[in-house]
Amino acid sequence: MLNLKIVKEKMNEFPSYLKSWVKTFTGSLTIFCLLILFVMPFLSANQSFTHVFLRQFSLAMIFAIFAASWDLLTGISGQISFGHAIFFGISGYICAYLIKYQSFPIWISIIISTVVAVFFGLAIGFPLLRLKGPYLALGTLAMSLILLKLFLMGSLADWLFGSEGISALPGLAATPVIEYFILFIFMILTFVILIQISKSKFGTILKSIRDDEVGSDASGINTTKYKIYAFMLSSFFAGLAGGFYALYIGAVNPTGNFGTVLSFFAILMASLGGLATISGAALGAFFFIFLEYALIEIGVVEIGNLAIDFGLYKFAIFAVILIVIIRFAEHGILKPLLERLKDLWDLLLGR
Amino acid sequence: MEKLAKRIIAIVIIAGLGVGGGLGAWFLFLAPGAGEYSWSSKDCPGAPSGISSDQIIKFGITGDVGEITGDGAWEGCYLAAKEINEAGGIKINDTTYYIGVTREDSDEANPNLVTSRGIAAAERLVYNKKVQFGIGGFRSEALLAYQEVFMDNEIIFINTGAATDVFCENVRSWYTRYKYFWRSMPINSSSLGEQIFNYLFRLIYVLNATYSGEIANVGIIYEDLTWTEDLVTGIEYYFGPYGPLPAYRNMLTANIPYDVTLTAADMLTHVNTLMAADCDIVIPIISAQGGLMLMQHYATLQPNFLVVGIDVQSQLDTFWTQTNGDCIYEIQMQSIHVTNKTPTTIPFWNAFRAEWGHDPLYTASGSYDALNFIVWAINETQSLQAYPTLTQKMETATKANILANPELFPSSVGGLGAYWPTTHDLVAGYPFGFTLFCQWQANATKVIMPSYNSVYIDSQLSNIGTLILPPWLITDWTT
Repeated sequence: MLNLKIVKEKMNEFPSYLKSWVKTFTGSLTIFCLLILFVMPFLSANQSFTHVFLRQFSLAMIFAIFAASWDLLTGISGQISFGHAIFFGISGYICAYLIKYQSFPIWISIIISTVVAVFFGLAIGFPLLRLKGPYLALGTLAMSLILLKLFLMGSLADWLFGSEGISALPGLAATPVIEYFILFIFMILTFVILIQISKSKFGTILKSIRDDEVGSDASGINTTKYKIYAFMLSSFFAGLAGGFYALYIGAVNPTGNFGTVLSFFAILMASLGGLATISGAALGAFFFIFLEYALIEIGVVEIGNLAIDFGLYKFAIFAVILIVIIRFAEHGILKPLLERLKDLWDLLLGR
Repeated sequence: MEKLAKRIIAIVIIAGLGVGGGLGAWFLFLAPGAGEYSWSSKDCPGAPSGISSDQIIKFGITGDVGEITGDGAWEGCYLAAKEINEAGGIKINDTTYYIGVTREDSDEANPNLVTSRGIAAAERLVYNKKVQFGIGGFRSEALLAYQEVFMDNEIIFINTGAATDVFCENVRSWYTRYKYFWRSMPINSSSLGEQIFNYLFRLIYVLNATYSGEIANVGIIYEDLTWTEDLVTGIEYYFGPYGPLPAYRNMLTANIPYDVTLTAADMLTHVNTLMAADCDIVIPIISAQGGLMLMQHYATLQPNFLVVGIDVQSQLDTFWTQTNGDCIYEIQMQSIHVTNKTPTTIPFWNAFRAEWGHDPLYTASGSYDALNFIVWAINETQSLQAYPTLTQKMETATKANILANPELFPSSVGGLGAYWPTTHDLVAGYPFGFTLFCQWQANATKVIMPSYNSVYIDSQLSNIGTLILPPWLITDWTT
């Protein structure tokens, strides 16, 4: 699967490849966004900025990794998962357990928990991949609910910590700024890897399975093997996000880490950005987190005698905005946004 | 020419987007003081207008906005702040201060808990609003995560809603970190379980004396959440085969945990299970809408059991209307009612009803007591230093000290407010932290039940009523 010669060639031509990519509209826009994210922590030193605003960025980056992992599995490979929180939650729990009860260093715990998530991907993917389409979706959903219930069970609380979970975990880093940069680096790495995967031969095989599984099978592709690879790869990044999330929150509990709502967050974020785009997941995650943040910050708005509390009605407003977006950008906001910006850019350059 | 015009428009749009975005970001997040909350007299109910931020002692309340528990915490704090401010505020070294209250939505009552929302709420309180004290909390899983924000910043936080034992056990086991954590309401889960058992033990005895020993089976139905775990363990022990009940060994015939997202159909199944288990008494341990469904099915099916336990929503007077009167005969526990638990209970009850138009929930009385407790410590020490000054002063509110010199301590509304100095937990048991057993009776009246001196001394409390059993239950137990 991995052709070293091609990898070597790619490495040799990397600078020129990078050069030409930066010159493209997408490339320059990506570099511009990354530069903004890079300088962000240095823009202000006030507490509310670093501890509240910057922390929201960190949260958005964790969810971006999580949503991108779901996009690889569902958007690229076509394996619909409604239970992606399985990998997110299991990794969070393993990470929390190793740190709190085995005194493992944070990074060793994250690595181990991510590997465990991959094994879960394998263990769950193997039996579930006999299912297709909506049945696979229901299967993954059922699996996540089983795990949620298992972790909630009082009789298993001695082993799985019950509904209380594990709390008082150390943070990922000593300061929110360092936490931000760690997550920033991991988010970039995740997206670079996932985008390269989606563009590689392996990614093409996954897309062919997504578009025509019978055809792929008939042309000699071992579809089960590739689907399991997709499950394992996806669970790796979901597990990574789960470990980071546990340390971001400082606690794990069944509802907060295995809850169905988390699986739907991943679906929502990836779909908002644009399915099968990978980078759309980042846009969706940032949009999702900051829309909620903005509604809370706006708070109460008085129009004449009418006072509207945007914070109180944030979920209703959120739902309306989502419906509008889905109505006018059914394939996500990334592509239409890029197209509009490209039009503007072309106009500016007089093209 | 047309191309040039389009180009100019593009430049204008891009410049507008860039400058607008940049300026917006600057004013919202980057400018000195951006994002920080400016405290003013509008945050200080009952205070004179025009006071400056420096004159405000800042309290932050965490809770689920729009839900009864979070709103209760807010309403209790608001009322306490208003009363203190209307009385002229408090003086610290000859400077007058007023009590400011603000709140953030932790969304913790949401069955689909998103823990990061609680963390964000606590961070906004601490870093944006720069609160000096925190009050609130309800859902153990959420509070376990966001209490750390207060502990990290060495801010005193009084929990007024989560019963789980572990919070105050943390204070004992890791005092250096958790010494800022307190619980003013409710009493911990183990003590709640003990008080339910004490009451039921006496009630069953009294009922059996009347109905010839018909009452033998107990069932529990509870939310499968952290806060119920210790309580359920206690009840399982007390009513189980190894409990202290030789006469009624192994009374527990049904044990039903359920997911808080349950539907009315799920609850119907559970009620049928309780009926099939031949339960005579059913103990609900419910904080959310499950109680409403339980009582609706109870009124429809008229099962042969009495409902006695915790049903948080039933504490509010609005529960009668919500259930359309189906809650009649339910006996549920609540921290306060119109009775003289302490000399300030009834005045608080009346003031609360006058301010908010409804009965106070347990989180309301707990928050009211919590704020007054902190203000008492500030007054006594003339300091705002969380540790050691305030913490050590608050630790003097022990059972022994309060019994010896009650006039030296603040009068709580939920019972004499004594705390264990090593765990910062509310002391349980009459006359300190004890619960009232109240029954819904005809015409939307709620009556305090006699506890047969098991939980409280009946003769010491005013407005104690009489138990009324459902007619179908009397028929069943007498035939």
